[in-house]
Amino acid sequence: MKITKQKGTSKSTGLCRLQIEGDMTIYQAAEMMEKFVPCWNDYREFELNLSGVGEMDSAGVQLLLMFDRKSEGYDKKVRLLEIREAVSEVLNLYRLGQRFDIQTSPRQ
Amino acid sequence: MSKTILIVDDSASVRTVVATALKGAGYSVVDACDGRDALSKLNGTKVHLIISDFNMPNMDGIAFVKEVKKLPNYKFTPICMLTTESEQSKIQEGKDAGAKAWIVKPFQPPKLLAAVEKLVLP
Amino acid sequence: MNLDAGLQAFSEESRELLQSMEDTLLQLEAKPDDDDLINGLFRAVHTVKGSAGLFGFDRVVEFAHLAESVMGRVRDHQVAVANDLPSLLLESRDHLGLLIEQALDGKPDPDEDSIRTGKALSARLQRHLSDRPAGEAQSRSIPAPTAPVLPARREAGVENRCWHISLRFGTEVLRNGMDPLSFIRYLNTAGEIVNLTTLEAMPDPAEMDAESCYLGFEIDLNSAADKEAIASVFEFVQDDCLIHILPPNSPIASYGELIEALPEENARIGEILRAGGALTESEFGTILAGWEKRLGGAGGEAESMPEPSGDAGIRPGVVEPSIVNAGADKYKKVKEHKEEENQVVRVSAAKLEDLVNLVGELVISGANTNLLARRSGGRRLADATETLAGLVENIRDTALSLRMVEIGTTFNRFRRVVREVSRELGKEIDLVISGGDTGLDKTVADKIGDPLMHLVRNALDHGIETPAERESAGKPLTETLHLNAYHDSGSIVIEICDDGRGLVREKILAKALEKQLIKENQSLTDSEIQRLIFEPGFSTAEQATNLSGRGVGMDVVLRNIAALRGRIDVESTPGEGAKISIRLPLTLAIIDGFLVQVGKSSYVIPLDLVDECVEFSEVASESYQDSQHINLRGEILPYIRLGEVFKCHTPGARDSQSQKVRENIVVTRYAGQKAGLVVDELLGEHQTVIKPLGTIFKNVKGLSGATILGSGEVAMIVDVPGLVSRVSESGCPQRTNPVNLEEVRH
Repeated sequence: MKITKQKGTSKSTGLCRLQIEGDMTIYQAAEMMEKFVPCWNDYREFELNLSGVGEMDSAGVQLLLMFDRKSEGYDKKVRLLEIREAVSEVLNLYRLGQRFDIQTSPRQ
Repeated sequence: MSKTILIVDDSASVRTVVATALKGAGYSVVDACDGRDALSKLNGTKVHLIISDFNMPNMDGIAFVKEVKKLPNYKFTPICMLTTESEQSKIQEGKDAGAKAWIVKPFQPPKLLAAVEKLVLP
Repeated sequence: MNLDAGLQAFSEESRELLQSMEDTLLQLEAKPDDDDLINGLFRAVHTVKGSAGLFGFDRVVEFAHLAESVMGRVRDHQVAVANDLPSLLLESRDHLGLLIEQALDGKPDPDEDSIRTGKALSARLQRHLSDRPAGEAQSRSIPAPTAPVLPARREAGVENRCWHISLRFGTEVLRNGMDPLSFIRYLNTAGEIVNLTTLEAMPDPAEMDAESCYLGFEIDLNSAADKEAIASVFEFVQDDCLIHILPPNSPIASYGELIEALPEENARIGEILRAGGALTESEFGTILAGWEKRLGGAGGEAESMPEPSGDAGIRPGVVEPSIVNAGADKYKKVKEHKEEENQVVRVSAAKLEDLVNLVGELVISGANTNLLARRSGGRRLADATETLAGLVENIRDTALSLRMVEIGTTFNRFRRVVREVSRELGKEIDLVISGGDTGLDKTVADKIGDPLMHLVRNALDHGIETPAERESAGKPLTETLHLNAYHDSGSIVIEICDDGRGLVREKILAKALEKQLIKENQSLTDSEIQRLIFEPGFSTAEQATNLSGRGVGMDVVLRNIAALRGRIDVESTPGEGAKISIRLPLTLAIIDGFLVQVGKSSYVIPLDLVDECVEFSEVASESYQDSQHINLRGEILPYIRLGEVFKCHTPGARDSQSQKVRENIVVTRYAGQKAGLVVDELLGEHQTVIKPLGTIFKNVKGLSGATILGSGEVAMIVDVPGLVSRVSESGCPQRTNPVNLEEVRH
């Protein structure tokens, strides 16, 4: 599992661009969470590139949902980039395709 | 990428029937003849589901489940126990150990695949 | 085979409800105007209907609905409790029980008999509804049981033609390897998911546990499958998942109940159901109006429903109109209050059993720790373990009290029996119950039901005279059967008293002679005669009536009670009645014991039976020594030497001269009788977990169990009641089947 901040991340604009590689399952969830929380606190808008994500389970979905919070006084926005079929299948099962701003077609 | 299922049973015929049904449905299958053997197979291979018998020599199903729950890379793997009509009380024992699913023997492949589909991620 | 824990719960729940219906109905005969009773009755049948509906037991639902309607009219004072109504409701209750049993057994088709009974009862119930407005009567009319009708025709159903499924996954689901994704994907095989709303209940990221599950779903499924098939999809997660399944076109009221049952705010769920198409706007309006009405608030508020917003409404705060929230919140408060009144957690008996066993182990190792701490001589350690011991004792008491149930539940079962018997035999019998709140361990309560039933039937059958006999004896025409219970020195005493003819000496003797239990001209005391009725093969009923049953005699009762470490006493005054007292231990698992040593063996004497301990030489005056009696402050008591009973070789008892051991006598008291047990050494109080004796000890008299001491050593538990009754009967103990314990114990 690897999470790297990409070019364009800036505190002044509040945008955080992350490249995520590896699986997003319960086995990685706790570790990912640790890395995500500081970002979540520091930025307002997130662009997650999921081209390197192989498997995703509900724990992974919860991580994505965590980013996207508009209630309780938060105004966080998340955009998902380059999701692969496995991930889009999961999001579709949960009917979350509309919930997230998903950009560009999945890369096979 | 096909999902991998580990089948643990001391009966070769059960392993065969299960493996055939699973392979036919597109899963990869790893098999083991008892708990100890199964633990040795959990050595880095990604496993998406474990199907295990209760009564086995060397290490029985419950002890095996408890061991799996200690392995950092496998502790969240769903475990489905194979039980017989007369072992109903075992189901709870299995649940307490961490195996939340079960299939009652004898079973037909459709029943097996139904359980597997409820447990293995898409 | 049925794996469905829900069904199990339904089975238990319905049994309880049916029992409470029966109790209530019987009380209602005496107090036909008691609104509480009527309300209780209505609630019980309503709950049965509701949960039967959850499982799709349509026949149960149909019949329960009819009974509920009649009870509803009684509640609303439109129908009076009079004439045959109590009987009709009792019969209906029985039929409902039968239907539930059949449903649980999974019988697809009812038998002829039950159909006929059902039809007849339905017709009779219908009569109590007949002056309803025509339209209503029509829509609620009960169809023949063989032709179940769609819910839609029965009651105003919602327009939604889909099954509605509400799921709230528990936090542990993911860690258990279960993923909601797989289940939802699998659900696609059972039908078409028309709508699915994912709900998240995640805390702040800083507090979120990434491995916990916070997901919930509202699903509308278009499917021809039955409820069982849909529920079985979630079989593996049903233990840690809230699952509600509503059939297509369910009554609006069921949606109202669903919204109340779900953890989220009512308004939010209502909005989600509306947005997802499960409910139309006006249907939700109806539900809301219902709450308002129950709150006593202005009905007009419901009209200010919010416009359906385009948003899926999955986040709180989306539903703005405060007036709706106010209504919902107000309702929520009522609901919370209701819940406070009835905060009961259902726990499986097996789990309690495990807990009690664990506490037992805790008590043993606690005792050991205590012993070691005292031996080590460290004061602070000893103090600390002392505190610990106090806590362990509290835990033990609390754990045991969890299993305590009131004997009243068992007693109430007999109301029905007595009622039926009095009708059948043409005897007038009044059942008086007292001490119903006396608690005892559930395991004991479960096992005492059958013996008690037998004793009650026996009393009714043999003890009670006909009105004519009573009149000639100058007694009141109505018999009184009195069931009483109370606690007495660590035991529960259950009494069955009747004011009938009592035990008839001549009858018993004649029967015993006939059965060759005694010899001609054998002289017997009253208590010996009374004991005869407990002899195997003894039965005085001229012919086996269907009351006291066949084949099972009082000897079986005696054996059952002895197996519970209890005893039975009979007191009888000819012509005035009989009293049977059963004395049982409150719990079977743990006792406070008094540890003593005889020779090399340790024995435990139940502490609540110990009166006092004195040095043997002080009380054993010479004149009494041979006759096995002691003089305790002027009171002459029989005593026995445990060493002799159990053949343990006591090193210094009487013959050894080199080191004379100071013997002690433990004075025990049981059921009013005192006796002394002579032992070598007093070791003090000891908490004892009773382990049952193996078959090898089956024939050993005087032992009731074994325990393992903290040191790992085995100690036998002395059966004081057994020993006391032996010494007090014969003056000196008979040495029946002595066993050398040193040998038995490897």
